[in-house]
Amino acid sequence: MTAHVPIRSAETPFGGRQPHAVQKALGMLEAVAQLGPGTTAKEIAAFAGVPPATAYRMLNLLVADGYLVRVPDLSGFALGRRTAELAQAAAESTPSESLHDVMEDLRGCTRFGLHVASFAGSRLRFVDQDPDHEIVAITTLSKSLHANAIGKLMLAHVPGVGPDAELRRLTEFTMCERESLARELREIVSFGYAKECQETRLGRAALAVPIRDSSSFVVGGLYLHGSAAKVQPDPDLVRFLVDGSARLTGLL
Amino acid sequence: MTSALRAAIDRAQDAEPAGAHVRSPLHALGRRQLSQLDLIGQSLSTIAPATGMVFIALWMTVSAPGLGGVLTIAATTGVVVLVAWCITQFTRRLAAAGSLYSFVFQGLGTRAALVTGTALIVGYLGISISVLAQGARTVLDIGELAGLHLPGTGPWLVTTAVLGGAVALIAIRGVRFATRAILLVETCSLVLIVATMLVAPAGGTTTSELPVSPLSLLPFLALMTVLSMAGFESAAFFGPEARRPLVTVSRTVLITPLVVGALFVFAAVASLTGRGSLIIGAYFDGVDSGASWAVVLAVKTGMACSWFASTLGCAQAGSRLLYSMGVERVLPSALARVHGTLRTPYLAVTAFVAVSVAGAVLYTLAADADSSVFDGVVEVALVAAYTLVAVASLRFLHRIGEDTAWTRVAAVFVTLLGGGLLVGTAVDGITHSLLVVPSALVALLVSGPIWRAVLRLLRPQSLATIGAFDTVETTDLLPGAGTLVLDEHGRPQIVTGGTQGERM
Repeated sequence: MTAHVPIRSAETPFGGRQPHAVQKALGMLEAVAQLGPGTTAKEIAAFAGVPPATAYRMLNLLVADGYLVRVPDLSGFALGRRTAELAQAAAESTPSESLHDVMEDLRGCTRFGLHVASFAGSRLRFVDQDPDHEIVAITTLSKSLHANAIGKLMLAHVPGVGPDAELRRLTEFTMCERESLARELREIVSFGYAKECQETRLGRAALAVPIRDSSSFVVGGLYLHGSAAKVQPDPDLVRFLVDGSARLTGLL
Repeated sequence: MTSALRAAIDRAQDAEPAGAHVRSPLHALGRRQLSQLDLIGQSLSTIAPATGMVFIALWMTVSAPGLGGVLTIAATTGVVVLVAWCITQFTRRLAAAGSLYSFVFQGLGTRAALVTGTALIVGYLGISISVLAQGARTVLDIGELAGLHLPGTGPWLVTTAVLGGAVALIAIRGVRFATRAILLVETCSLVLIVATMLVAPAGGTTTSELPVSPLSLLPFLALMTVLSMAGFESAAFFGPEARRPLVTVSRTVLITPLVVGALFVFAAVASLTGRGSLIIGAYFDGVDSGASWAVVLAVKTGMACSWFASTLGCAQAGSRLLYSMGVERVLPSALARVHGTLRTPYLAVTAFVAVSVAGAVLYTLAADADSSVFDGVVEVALVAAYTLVAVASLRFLHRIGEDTAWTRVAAVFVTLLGGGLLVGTAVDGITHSLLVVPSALVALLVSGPIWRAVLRLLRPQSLATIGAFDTVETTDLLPGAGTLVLDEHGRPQIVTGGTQGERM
C-alpha cells in the first residue's frame, strides 16, 4: 500500500518549523509504539499532546510515507515498516554531532591533559583544547615542530611538511640532529605514536597519536601531556590514546 | 528517540519473517506507476476543459447573462472545490480503484455505495457517450475542411468505432502512457483555445443558436459548469496505481477544480467582452462564420483532441470502477482480469469502451435532437454521487473519530446544497412536464436497494467483499509491531503478536 522510497531531503511535508514538527511526529510514533496497534487518532493526539486537527494532518502524512499504516477498518494505526529507518538515521547522525563530546568522554578517563590538533592545510592548529590542562606557551608547538610530540607526528605523517632549516634548541633535551630526528620520525610511523620528553619545556612530557579520516588519511593528532615523571610511553597509556583516536576517526 | 519506539524498532530487527503474506485485494494492478503529473493529466483530460470553455463562451455570448453569469460560474467552482475537499477526506486515508463508490461504502454502507456505483457508471458512461459522439462529428468536420466530403451515417459510424478502438488500445497499453499522451493533447488544445480568445477582436457577435434549455438561465449555467467539471475527481480511481497516493491523489483532486474553474471564469470574462465569438463561430459554424480556414481547422483540431482525451479519461476511470466491482464480485468477476504484463484491467476497459461506442451510436441516431434530457440525466447522476460522498465523509470521519468542525461544516453545506439541487431539478422537470430527469433520479435512488437484493439472492458472498480498497499488506507493517491476519470472513485485521509482555 505504501511506497518504500528513500527519504528525500528536498521534501518538506510538515511545513516550516521542521524541528518542532519532527518532534511532534516522533511523539506520535512513540504513542503508537506505546499504545499498540489499533490506537485511534484521538488517543495519539492526546498522548503526544498535539492539537487534534494538526495530529490528523500529520498522521495522514506519516501514513502516506509508510511510517505508520492504517488498520484495515481505517479507525486506528500501527507502526509501518519505514519506522525502522529512523533507527538507522539515528545511528548515522549521532557521531557527527560531537568531536567535543568524545573528547569530554576521554578526558573523564585520564588525569592528563588531552587536546586535538588538526593538520589541515599543512598547519598545526589546536581545534579542541582541554579546559583543565592548559598547554603553556602553545604557540611554540607549531613553531618548533621538531621539539614536541604532536609536531613530530605531523612531520612523520604529512607529506610535504619538513622540519625547519635550523633545528632550534629549546631545552637541553631538544633533538637538534637531523639524522636522529629522521630516525625518530620513521619510528613514529612504525610504532604508531610520537613521544616528547622535556624537549620544549622542562618538566613536561607528552604523547601523540594520529587521527584519521574515513579514508584512513592522517588529518590530525590526539595530544596528551603531563609531568615528565608521570607521562611515559607505557603500553596502557598508548593503548588508551590509540583507542581514543579510533573513536575520533572521521570526525575531524 | 524514546523507549517504546526504540524497543519496537529493536524488535523489528529480531522479528521472524511473517508466515502468511496478506496482500491488498487490488494488488494485481500496476503499482506505484503514476506521478503527480500523470494524475493531473488524467483529471484534466476527463474534464476536457477546452470543450467546456467553448460551451461556456457560447452560452455567455448568446444568452448574455452578463456579470451574473461570471459570478455564477465562480460560485459553482467554489462549491465544486468544497466537494473536492470532502472527497480528499477519503483520498488522504485510503486508496481505492472504485473512487467515490468505495468511499461512500466506508461512510454509508452497501446500499448507498451501490447507488453511488450506479450514479458513477451512468455519469461516466454518459459523458463518454456524448464526448465520443461529438468527437466523431468534429473529426468528420475536419475531413470536410480538408476536402473529404463524407455524408451519411456510414462514415460517421466508422469514425466512432475507430475512435473507440484507439481509446481502448491506449487505455490497455498502459495507464502511464495514456495519461502522458492525454496531458500533452489537452495542454495543446487549451493553449490554442486560450490564445484564440486572447487575440480575437473584442465586440464580436455570433449567429450560433442555442439548444433549448428546460431551466432558467443561471441555474442552468451552474449545472452546466458542474457537468463541464465532471471528472475532476477521476484521479481518485488511480490511488492503487499512483506513487505516494494519499498525498498525490488528494492534491490532484483539490487542484484540478481550481485550475479548471479559473479557465472557465477566463472564458466567461472573455465572452463578456465579445472575444469568445470568433472561437464559437469557428467551431459551430465553420468557415460560414467568416473565420479563416486555418483558424477553423486549428479550433476544430484542438476540440477533436479534447473530445478524444475526454473519452480516454472516462474509459480509464470507468474501467477502474468496473474492475473494482469485479474484484468484489458485485459485477461479473471477469471484469477484474488484469493483463499479465501491462497490468491494466483489459476486459473492464473493453467493456466500457464497447458500451460507449454503442451508446454513442444510439445517442446520435435517436437522442440527437434532445441532448438536454441526456445531459440532465448525467448531471443528476453526478450531483447525486457528489452529494452522497459528502454525507459519507461526515459519517466516515465521525466513525474513525477524526472529524473537525471544518469537515462537518463543509460536508453539511455540500449535502444541503446537493440535495436542494437534486430536488430543485426534479421539481423543475415535473413542472416543465419533462419526466425523464425526475424518473432517472428515482431509478437511481432505488437502484442501490434493488442491486443489493439481487446480490443477496445470487452472490451473497459479494456483500462481504464490497468496499474493497488498498488495505495494508504484511510488508507494510513494521515486523513485530503486529500481525496481519484474515478473520473468518476473509477480512484483514491487525492483531498484537507475541509482544504483549514487553509492552507496558
